[in-house]
Amino acid sequence: MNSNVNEVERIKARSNFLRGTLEASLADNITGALAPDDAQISKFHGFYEQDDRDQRDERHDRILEPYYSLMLRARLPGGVCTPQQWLTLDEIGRTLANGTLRLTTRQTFQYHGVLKQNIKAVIQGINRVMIDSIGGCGDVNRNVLCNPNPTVSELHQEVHGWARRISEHLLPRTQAYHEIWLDGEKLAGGKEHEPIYGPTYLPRKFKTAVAVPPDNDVDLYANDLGFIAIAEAGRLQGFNVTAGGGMGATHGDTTTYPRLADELGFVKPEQVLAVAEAMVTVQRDHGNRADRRHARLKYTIDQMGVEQFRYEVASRAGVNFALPKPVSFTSQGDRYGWVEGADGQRHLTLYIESGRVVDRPEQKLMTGLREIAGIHQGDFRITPNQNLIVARVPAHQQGEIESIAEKHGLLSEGVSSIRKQGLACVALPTCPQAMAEAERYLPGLFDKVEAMAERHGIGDTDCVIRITGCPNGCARPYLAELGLVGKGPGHYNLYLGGDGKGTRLNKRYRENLGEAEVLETMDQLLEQYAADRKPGERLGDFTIRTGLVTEVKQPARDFHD
Amino acid sequence: MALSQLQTLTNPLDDQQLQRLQSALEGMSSIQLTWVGGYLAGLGSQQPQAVAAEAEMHQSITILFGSESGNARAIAGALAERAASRGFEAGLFSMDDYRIRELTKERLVLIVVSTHGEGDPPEGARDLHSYLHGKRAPRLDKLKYAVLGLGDSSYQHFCRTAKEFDNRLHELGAERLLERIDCDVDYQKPSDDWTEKALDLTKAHIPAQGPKVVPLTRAAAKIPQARYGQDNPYRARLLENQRITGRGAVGDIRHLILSIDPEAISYTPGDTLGVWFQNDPLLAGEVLSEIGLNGDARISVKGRESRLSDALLRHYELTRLHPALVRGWASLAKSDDLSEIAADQARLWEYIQQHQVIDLVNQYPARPSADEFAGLLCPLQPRLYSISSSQTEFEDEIHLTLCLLQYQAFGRNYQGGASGFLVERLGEDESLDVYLVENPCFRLPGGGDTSIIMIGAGTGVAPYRAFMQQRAVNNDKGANWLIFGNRHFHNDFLYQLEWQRYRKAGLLDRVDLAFSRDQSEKVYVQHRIHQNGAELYRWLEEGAHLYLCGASVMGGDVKQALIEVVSEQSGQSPEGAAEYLETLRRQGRFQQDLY
Repeated sequence: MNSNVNEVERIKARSNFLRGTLEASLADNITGALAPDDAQISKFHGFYEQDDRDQRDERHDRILEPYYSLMLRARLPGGVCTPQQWLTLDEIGRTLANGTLRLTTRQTFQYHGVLKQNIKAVIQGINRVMIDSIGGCGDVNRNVLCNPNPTVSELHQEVHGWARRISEHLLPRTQAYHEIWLDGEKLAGGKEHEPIYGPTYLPRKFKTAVAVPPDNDVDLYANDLGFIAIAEAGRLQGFNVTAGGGMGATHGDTTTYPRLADELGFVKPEQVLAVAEAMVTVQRDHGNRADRRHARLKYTIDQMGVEQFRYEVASRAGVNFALPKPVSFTSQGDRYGWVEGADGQRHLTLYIESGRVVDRPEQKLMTGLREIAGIHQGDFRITPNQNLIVARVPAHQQGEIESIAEKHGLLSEGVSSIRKQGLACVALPTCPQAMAEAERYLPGLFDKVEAMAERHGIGDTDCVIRITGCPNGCARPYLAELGLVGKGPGHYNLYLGGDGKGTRLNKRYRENLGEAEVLETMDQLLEQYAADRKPGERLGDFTIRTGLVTEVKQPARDFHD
Repeated sequence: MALSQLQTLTNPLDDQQLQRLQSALEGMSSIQLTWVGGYLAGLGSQQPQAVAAEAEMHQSITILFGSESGNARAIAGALAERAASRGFEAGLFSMDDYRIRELTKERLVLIVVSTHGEGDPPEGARDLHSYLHGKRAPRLDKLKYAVLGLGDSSYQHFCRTAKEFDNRLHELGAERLLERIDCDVDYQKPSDDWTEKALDLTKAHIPAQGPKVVPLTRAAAKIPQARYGQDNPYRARLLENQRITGRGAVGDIRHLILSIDPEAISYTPGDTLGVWFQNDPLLAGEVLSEIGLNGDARISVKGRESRLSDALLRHYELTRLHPALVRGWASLAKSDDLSEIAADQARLWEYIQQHQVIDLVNQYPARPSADEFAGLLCPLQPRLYSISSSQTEFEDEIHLTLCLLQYQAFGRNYQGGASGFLVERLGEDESLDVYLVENPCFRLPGGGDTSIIMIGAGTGVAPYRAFMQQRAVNNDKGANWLIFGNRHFHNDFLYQLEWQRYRKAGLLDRVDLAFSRDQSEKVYVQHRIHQNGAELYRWLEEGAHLYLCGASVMGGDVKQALIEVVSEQSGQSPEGAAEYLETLRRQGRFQQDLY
């Protein structure tokens, strides 16, 4: 192995196709942690080791190790699951995790607070309803996003089918997952083969999304690999392929930056899998394995140049990219409440604050959704905005479902549109990357922002505000009209200039603001916006037009200006 | 000089005598050995003829004691001293050092025995107790005897062991010299009186023959003995009070570090610490105001005048009820309800277990005088805690591991008297009165190569922490196996980081954990014993010592599991397995500290 590769590469190489010493780590009853190598390998199986950072110092004084637990993220292409699956997911969340389900910006759910001794039961539990967590995290293709809008039902179904196929095609082939978690037969040594990934998998995570214009709720351009469905008269013609999007950056390192994907060209549906595989293998062979900060596909493409990259993918896939079809996106948010589809079925989009499905005194989300799942005959769809659609409700059941939703406070009447468009990642106390609060900070911050907007007479304004606890970008903050990215405890960088459609990066406006400064800055901004905006002008557009920030066009060069 | 070297020297003892000497001295601390040395020297110098005469000689009085906390030992010692000063020949033995077959040759035996835990004999009294109650018990028609019991009447089986000895000796044909006395926690005066009475009566039966045996206590007076005890405690200082259970834990368990002078207190892993405490002033105030008494009222406590409020803090139990108090209060309050409860043994115990003094005075109003009220209260008793440090590691510290007893009932919060004092009221750098209670029945094996299995739940892990510190310092090669249980892995794995370090260093060979509430079905240490039965039996067969520490209920379950495991693994009947464990216990290879 190249002596220049980073430690994670070595760990992958010696893991024997993702086995590592996971079984020994699980059997070690004296600690809630995994052996260090296994904490890397476990990600490929869908779970992270975390600890409650609020308690770290205190527990050390108490002669206790950190409060370790595992976060398990499932693979759920396009975020679709059945009511039966939901009931099982709910039960596992209540009995084997911390009593919540966390819907994510990648249209799946996470369990937090799973004890090491229970992780196997969790994986076996979801497996009973045909859900796995392979590649939930780790350096492989992650959960494939797909626009969940069910109103154009046939087209959506067809596109979702492709999302599912891409996800399955790009699954690791190792039997490690089945051996370790599902008590599958052990393969004799040397029999494993990873035709797509090879023994060290990818240099970094790899994200794929499928969008159906005009909705860009998947934030297509933030993904390593993107497919934009092109339909004519409701029939799927093929996809515009995009490559090289990604959010993650490192504070203070100007060689890292968020980047929007480039369009490579148009392909037919039957070429999708070959293109996806070629994209993965090019990244496998050309990605940076020395420095994980520069290992995402976006850097590989900036290194190779888009033309060379396109050529490499096309030749490996054996396709010719046609010119991309014109597309237009209008929104990156969700539409709440009931809508009726072309086939007469009804769909209810519920606002789930920060995606956290939990029972609170004022709102019994978990209980309410469980009751709905008990009678629902359609499906559930997790949106890329961490919300939930109760989809394909026959007209005669709408009233019944509505009344359950109402009884448990699930309907978001009176929730401002600022709040409804908002996103926050998990951050503290469990996320090991977090530098500042996000999910716990969002509700209180939005209370204040709403009051400000009211004061400036723009209470009904529609703008996308996103908060993350670190610059890695789980809640895609660099595509927000106003993004807050954690810098340190109680401190954030403030970004402005997204377009509300997910097609323009924002740019840093202020650095390292304390919470009071965040509020002060936002207050001035909203005041200015209320006074000087043009009719219908969005906040992000306003900040660029008035020169508060300059538009980012070549992030490698101008994101950090 | 090691005991084993005795054999190689020219010595006047035969093998049997040597063995007895060795077994008598095993496990003694250096202070004890010095003490015994002084005693033997005194014995030798004052009784030059004794050796020759011994073969035919039986002491005219044999004093046997069974002691857990050291009180019975102290009373028996004082009894022996007075007997000697009156000119009787007196032999003083801990029951487990006494040759049981000699009993049939005795003419007069005085027994001082305490009762332990759930009405059990103290560890040292168990063999004699079960021998007398078993089929092999001899007729004792020639014997005269008297029994002094020690106990704590706030426990249900007050002085049960003393009662059992008394009744059984009578059944076996022995004649009571004197009615048994059951001494409560304030035993000094009654035990003195009983001692005098017993010796008076002895005189009528056995003529004094001159002081041929030097009483132990007189010899003891000549040499250094432990300077501090229950009645003259050492003043230690609280250095640290650290909670060691996690945020979500039900139990608030503390690691306390006390500062001591190693010249004043010398302890061995396994020892316990007696702690004097003060009641909660708020609680005392509440009790007084409930009864309508003025805290400034003067009362007499142990012959000294004291303010009533001070006495409630320092001299009386306020958190434990007592049958006599309930009975007395029933008549003061003229309450039929309470009288009914007091008259029904079962209901009385239930009431005592579920209430404190404040409830009694609150639920059944009465207006006693200060003296009347104080007269009903039980004298404050020190509490005993297992020491969780080794002095070899922490020369001038004593570590304790204790749970703050607290609960809610009847709409109010309750706290344990001593744990509330130690955890909440005693500030860091403040002083407290303590004394060492040696626990010779809970000791590491003499040889460092011997493996040990440590079974404990909750704060029962305390002495094992001391054991591991000692074994680490000694660089002992014997394997160490911890089987520990508590509620939750995350919150209640006491001293987790230390166990991890021991294991990483290769000192802790096995750890099996039972966290009862981490899964739907409860898992306890006895389940782990079952699961690891084959391994456990193998360790025992290879000579491992087995330790069990924690609550009595857990202890019972564990012992049952051990019997089942031994039976399964050895193919013996459960009776055979029980005998196997019993043999280990007699050999000092199975030691218990249950409370």
